Amino acid sequence: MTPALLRRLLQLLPTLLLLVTLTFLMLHAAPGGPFDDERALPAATRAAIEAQYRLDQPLWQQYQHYIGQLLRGDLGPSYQYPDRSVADLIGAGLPLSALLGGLAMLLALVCGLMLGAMAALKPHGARDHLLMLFAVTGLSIPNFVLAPLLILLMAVTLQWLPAGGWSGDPSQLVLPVLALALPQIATIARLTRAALLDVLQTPWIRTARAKGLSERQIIWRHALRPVMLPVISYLGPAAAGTLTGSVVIEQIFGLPGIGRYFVLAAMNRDYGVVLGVVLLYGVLIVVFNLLVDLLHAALDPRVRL
Amino acid sequence: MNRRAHSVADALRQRPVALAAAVALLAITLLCIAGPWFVDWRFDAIDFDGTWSAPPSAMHWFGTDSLGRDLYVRTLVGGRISLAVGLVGTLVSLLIGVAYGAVAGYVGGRVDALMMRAVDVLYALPFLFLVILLMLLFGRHLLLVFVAIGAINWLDMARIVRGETRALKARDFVSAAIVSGVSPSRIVAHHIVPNLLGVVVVYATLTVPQVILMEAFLSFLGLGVQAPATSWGALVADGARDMELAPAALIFPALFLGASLLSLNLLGDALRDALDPRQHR
Repeated sequence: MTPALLRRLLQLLPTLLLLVTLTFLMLHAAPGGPFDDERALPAATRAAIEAQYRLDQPLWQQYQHYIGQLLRGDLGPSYQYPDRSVADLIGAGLPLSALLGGLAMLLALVCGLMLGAMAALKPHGARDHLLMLFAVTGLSIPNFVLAPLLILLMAVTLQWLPAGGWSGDPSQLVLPVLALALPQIATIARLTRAALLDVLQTPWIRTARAKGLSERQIIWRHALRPVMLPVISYLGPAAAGTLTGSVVIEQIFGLPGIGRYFVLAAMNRDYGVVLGVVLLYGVLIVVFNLLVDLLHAALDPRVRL
Repeated sequence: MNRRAHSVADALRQRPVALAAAVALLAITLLCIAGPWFVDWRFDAIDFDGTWSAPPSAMHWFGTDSLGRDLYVRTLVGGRISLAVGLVGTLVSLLIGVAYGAVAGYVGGRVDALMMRAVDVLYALPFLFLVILLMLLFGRHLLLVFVAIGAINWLDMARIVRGETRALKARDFVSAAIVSGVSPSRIVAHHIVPNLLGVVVVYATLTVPQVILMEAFLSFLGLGVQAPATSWGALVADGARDMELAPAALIFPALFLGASLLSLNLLGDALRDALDPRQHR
């Protein structure tokens, strides 16, 4: 591992620590606790439960304990499901969420690049204007508006696709992936178009044209790499957006991923699960950003870590 | 400023799409403000004579919601909240971002490095989660929505303003002010910030739709405005709940929200093309 990479990895730690600390403080500052049930527990039972979860200790001791636990790679127990650990619960929801997010990102990348290139190859024509209008529209329709509209059209009216739920049938993922990907497709198409227009005016493309290369060779061999750079830098924010979006999309489509756990857990004051999910999202986002930077450096010799 | 206003007018004239967007935005805003005056329904009044989840009719132009409330009035009154949140949230992020960025850019050196490093750390946080969490934990309060949204969006503004400030600081008129003994705080307030206005206005235009979107997102989750008050996000959420019975309750608010965001984005893009010299084509 190079020193530069190691330094970058170490720089991630303050961000994650800040995230965990903020979440921890917010959880404990909020009114209500995990064992405030509608039917009151006997005082002794309640005290015993709280002691078991260390809720009777001063806040800084709980914090210390939690951080110590994290450093040992343990996310701790769930406060609502006594027989399951946070890692268990996350492990149960993660595959579906990862599948949903991964497919959406892949679709966004492929479609975004294609549409952006189609627009840039004949700039200021009818096709270009139409595609870019589509892109701004895609940016302007939030995915939580798009999702119910898609359900209304495709599931309720046309009855082509299921409206939600999850039993392992791939057709149940079509609408969620589409709703999650569309804003990202729009952004990537805009980025690709702008970058390709810039690149096509550079001297090296003129040289390639002068050499008599075919348009296909020019695009694939000479223009693609510089065009990928802004798109790749956008993948970090895109991943963050997809993760956040998936919280809502999982709610709307009734998919049992971690996004749904997150909302439920926060409502139930399940401190362990909320902290675990926030930390997971935080790690995913910072690691993804780091990967993007690495990829950037690999593609662009001018960039160093 | 006059020349700038002139170039805005030029920019709009040369871009029919942007002009149409500006007109649409104005129309939506006026409709939201004045539209409810001309019907007899109030946004929280239930029509006990009519049916619930009724389709659009002469009586209820957009139909009624699942409680029998007039959707035309609710959509427009909700629009007032959405648009107001967009403006106020943008203003909050603008104030924080400009102040922070101008100070970091003007002072420079170690302070700048430290301040921008803090921005980097904050950038990496999945903020929307913290906002969702904030709302879930502390209950729903419109003020909290403003603060939370404003507190997220200032980061971009701070970065842009810092860059611009550093460029401005190297200009002769700033050197002249330094030489004639003007205090640093006065230079920032009187010489730097006024010259930032062009860039700030452009990015503020692009921030408004982001803020509206964020409020809609929170309200959609049931974390933003609270019943009986409403906003477009809350209306979309209500509409989505019984869209099989009454698609109008989903479609009208979605249309207003989408059209407003689209207009704002188109307008912001056009202004950026026209006014921001770095984003030339």
